[in-house]
Amino acid sequence: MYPPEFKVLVPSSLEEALKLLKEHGDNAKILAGGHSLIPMMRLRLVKPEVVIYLGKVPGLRYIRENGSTIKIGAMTTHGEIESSSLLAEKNPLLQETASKIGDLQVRNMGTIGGSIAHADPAADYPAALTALEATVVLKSLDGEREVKVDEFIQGPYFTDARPDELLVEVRVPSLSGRFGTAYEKLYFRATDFAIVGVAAYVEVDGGAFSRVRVGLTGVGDKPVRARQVEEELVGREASEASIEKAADLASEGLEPPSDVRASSEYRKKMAEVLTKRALTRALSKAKGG
Amino acid sequence: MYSRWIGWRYSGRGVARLEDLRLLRGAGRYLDDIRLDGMLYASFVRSEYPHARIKRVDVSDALKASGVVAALTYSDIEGRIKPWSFKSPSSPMYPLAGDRVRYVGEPVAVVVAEDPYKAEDAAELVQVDYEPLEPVVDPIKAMEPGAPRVHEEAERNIAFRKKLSCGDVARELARAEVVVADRLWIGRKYAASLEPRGVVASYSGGELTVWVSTQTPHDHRDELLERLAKPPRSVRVIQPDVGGAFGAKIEVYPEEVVVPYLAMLLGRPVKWVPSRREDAVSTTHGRDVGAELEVAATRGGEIRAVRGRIIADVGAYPLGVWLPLTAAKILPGAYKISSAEVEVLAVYTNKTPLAAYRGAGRPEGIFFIERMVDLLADELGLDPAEVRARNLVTPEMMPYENCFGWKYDSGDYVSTLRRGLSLLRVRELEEWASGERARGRLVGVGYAFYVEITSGGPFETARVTLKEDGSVEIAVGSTPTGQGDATGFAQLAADMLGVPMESVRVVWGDTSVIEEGVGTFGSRTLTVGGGAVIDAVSQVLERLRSRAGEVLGIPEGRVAYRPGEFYDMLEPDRVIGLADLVRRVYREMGESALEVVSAYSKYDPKTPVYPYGLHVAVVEVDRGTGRVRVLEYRSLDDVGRVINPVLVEGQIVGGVLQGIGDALYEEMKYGGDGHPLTLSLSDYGVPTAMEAPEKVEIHIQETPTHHPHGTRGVGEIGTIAAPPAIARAVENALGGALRVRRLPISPEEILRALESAR
Ligand SMILES: Cc1cc2nc3c(=O)[nH]c(=O)nc-3n(C[C@H](O)[C@H](O)[C@H](O)COP(=O)(O)OP(=O)(O)OC[C@H]3O[C@@H](n4cnc5c(N)ncnc54)[C@H](O)[C@@H]3O)c2cc1C
Repeated sequence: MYPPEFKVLVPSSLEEALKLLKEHGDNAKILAGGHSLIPMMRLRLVKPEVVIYLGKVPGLRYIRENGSTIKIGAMTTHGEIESSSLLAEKNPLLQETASKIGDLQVRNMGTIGGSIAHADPAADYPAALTALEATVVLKSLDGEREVKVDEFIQGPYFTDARPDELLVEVRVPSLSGRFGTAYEKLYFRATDFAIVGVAAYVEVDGGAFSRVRVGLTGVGDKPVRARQVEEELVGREASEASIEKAADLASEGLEPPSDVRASSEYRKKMAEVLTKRALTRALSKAKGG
Repeated sequence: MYSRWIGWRYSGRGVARLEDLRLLRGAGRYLDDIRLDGMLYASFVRSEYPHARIKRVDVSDALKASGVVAALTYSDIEGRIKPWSFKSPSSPMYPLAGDRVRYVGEPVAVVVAEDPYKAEDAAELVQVDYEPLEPVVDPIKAMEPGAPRVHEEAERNIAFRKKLSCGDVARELARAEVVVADRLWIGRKYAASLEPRGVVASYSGGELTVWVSTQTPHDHRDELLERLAKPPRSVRVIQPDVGGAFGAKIEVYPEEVVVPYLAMLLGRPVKWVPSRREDAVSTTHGRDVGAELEVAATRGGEIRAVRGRIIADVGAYPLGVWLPLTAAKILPGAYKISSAEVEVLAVYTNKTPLAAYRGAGRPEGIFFIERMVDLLADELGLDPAEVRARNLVTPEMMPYENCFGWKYDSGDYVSTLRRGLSLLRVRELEEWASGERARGRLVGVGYAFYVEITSGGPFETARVTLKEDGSVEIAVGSTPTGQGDATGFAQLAADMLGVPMESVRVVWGDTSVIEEGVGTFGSRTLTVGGGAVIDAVSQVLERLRSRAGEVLGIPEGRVAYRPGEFYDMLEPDRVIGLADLVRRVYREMGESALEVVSAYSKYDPKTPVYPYGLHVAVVEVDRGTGRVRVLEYRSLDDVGRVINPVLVEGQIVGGVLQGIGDALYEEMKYGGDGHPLTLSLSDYGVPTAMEAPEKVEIHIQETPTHHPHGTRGVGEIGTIAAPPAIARAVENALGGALRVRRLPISPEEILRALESAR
């Protein structure tokens, strides 16, 4: 479990970091919390020649409200998201998701930028970020672009980022009105990655669902929205009975992987079960429960 | 009998562990903490195939790499390190594979470099040409005629086969009122010690010093002297602090011979510490034993006969062929079964070899019989506790020889079952659970009654030395790996000697500290090792007694002893303190004082002892996902006399958690192609604190044994009793929708059962 030789560069400004990325491009890896990168390097699954450590770059660690958007710096840790009072009030879905990642040590080290850039198909955030229609901001010396998370993540460990681009920010909506959210995570042991994870976000208006978003992780190459469930519910009576019927659509079109933890069949079934649970809990919160 | 003083002050009390202050402060010194001047690092190249012929191993590129000092293959060690050969039909096991590999992870070559990074870089440059052979993966198919062979020598891949029988099984089956039959299996385990294996060796002036993360340093020493074709003048083996062993550090492994050989060859210290993945493929696995059984009984639930076979998938080499045999010998369990016929089979496959893992055969045998008794109760519509009660060995039958020849020493199983049912409030739990089930919650209660064998021979050693300053030094041949036995030894000695525990120092794990020893495994340390401590203390006191007579000016026959002093039986005020006497001996005898104040014992446990008890698990199943959670756990165990309840609790709680792993989480899985799939701690499911039951209630019963301190073993109880108790609790929670036949129980299986019951 010893990686091959590599060089560590420690930029002290964003500008410098971007320059280094431009210079070393494909041979470089960004080091954020290291909780995914370092195990992979030790297993020699990735062998970067250069590792660019982001920890000394100022201005990448924040949670800030800006109009109807909450902006989160890429280097913000899961622990900081978990304990943010701003998020607890205005985006509890992300906060709950962060609280269910790994264990305390992982949450203290791992960063949201690292998690998204790593694009592990079993990671937790992508469910919530998909449901929230979140975006990420990518920066390079050539400029900046904003991409939707479900377009950014293209497959297992595979994203839309160019080698010279840095993920600098995550943007999620600041939620208000009669809304409720919930993240349901099926794990093997409490500290494990998700076998399946379902994030739900609902808004109710006059006794009916006015907006429904369901994001799933662990069920395929990349996070997905359960659009059929969403469509089925919008406009319907905001009740458990409606959810009961709609949740079965969550597995429609899914082709989840089979592995040591679970079969594809089981994952499909769990997509339905957890969708139902997440929606039920989100609804009860929306109703003030 | 100086041992009568055991318990007057320390023994029996929950004295804090002497080991902890050092370990909890991070002052423990584990294998990887050992750093020697000029030390080199070894990295092993391992088979990537479950089964292949090796056509060529080329280390020339590796040798050219920076920092590389040596790179060896089989041809370099041929004739220098002797291979292992076995009684079972098998090819020899080479320390580095010769022309064939038989499991993923089998060592093929070794690279030695200036640092571990360079060693691993160079290991990647070793080129091995394999010609893949068809792997043997399924142990049942392995026995079919025409199946590929792991060893040409072993027909139908059978490594070991033996028929055990007693009574008249054919007659009993023919006239049985009821016969139940089932097939059961416990999955393969990896011990997953927090600290992996590892070895450091250094050679100078003809002396080879080897540090190894082991349970058996003396065996390592002997093995090294035997394996090395040109043995060193002397070998010293040191066991540093060990971060978990669980039976998987009993064997002397290939790396543990190759690295010492390298130190001798290169004249520099060499270290090897594996990664988790490497440890998971190269450290022996456990369990992977199954049974096909029929139980014949009367309608009243009296068991008349047991027939069937027990099969172990022993992997690529026959290290663990005794495991299914142990499972078979304990199969009669706590019951009077007088007719039984069991065929024991150990079968080769292309997997990591099987060997001891906490419980080693007893968890399997007890799981099988307890499952069959539950099945019988269900078939007859009787209460499982009642069926057990009707068949338990009764106290008048003690000592009782089970029908495969194991002699249960003592105990009252019948009243322990009855007492346990009430003490652990089993009926109340069952009632509560059925009420909850009526409300839709899938909660269930299950229990198991076990008996198991502990504290085997051949012997254990201790040397006790009373020092001039009043302190006591105890060197033991047993080799605790975290259990806290040193505290227990100190309690025994302090009681007998009348000294404060703080002045007792216990050392172990070094062949230069004590020349013979067996080791810590099979729940034997405090009982057998403790026996040696007691015997050695007794010897010293007996020698000092005659000295005391001289000092007091009375005949030896008049000298009596109480902790810390000798006195005149007729005039009890005439006293000589032990410490004074010891000082006097040192003053008078100088160097040769040790002949009096130090004694060595090689204690023979004579016969094993048998703990037994009732364990109860309460589980809840999530109806939607099939996940099981153990809510609560209660136990009543007869462990003999308790020296320290803190240590007993530690062993039971830890064992139960590991048993929960057996039942619900842990399995070393192999794909159909013979490749292992669970080589990291995120894939291999060791339960964590989060999976532990929130409530654990432990009760102890103390029927003494023939040992002077009256103990039985306690180290493996949890892994033996928990799996069948949990299996039953899951069945109970599911209201009969599932019959548990295989461990670990998977959520998917539960969900399927719930669906088909709907
Ligand atoms: C024991 C354990 C348990 C875990 N459990 C969970 C779990 O339950 N759920 C879960 O979701 N995750 C889990 N994780 C993963 C954890 O959350 C990781 O920390 C996270 O996925 C990656 O974040 P990081 O900051 O550690 O990134 P790093 O490991 O530093 O980087 C990961 C990858 O992203 C790239 N990268 C990092 N930051 C940027 C950036 N700003 N721009 C561009 N590329 C970047 C790196 O180059 C690298 O390729 C677990 C990890 C461990 C070790």
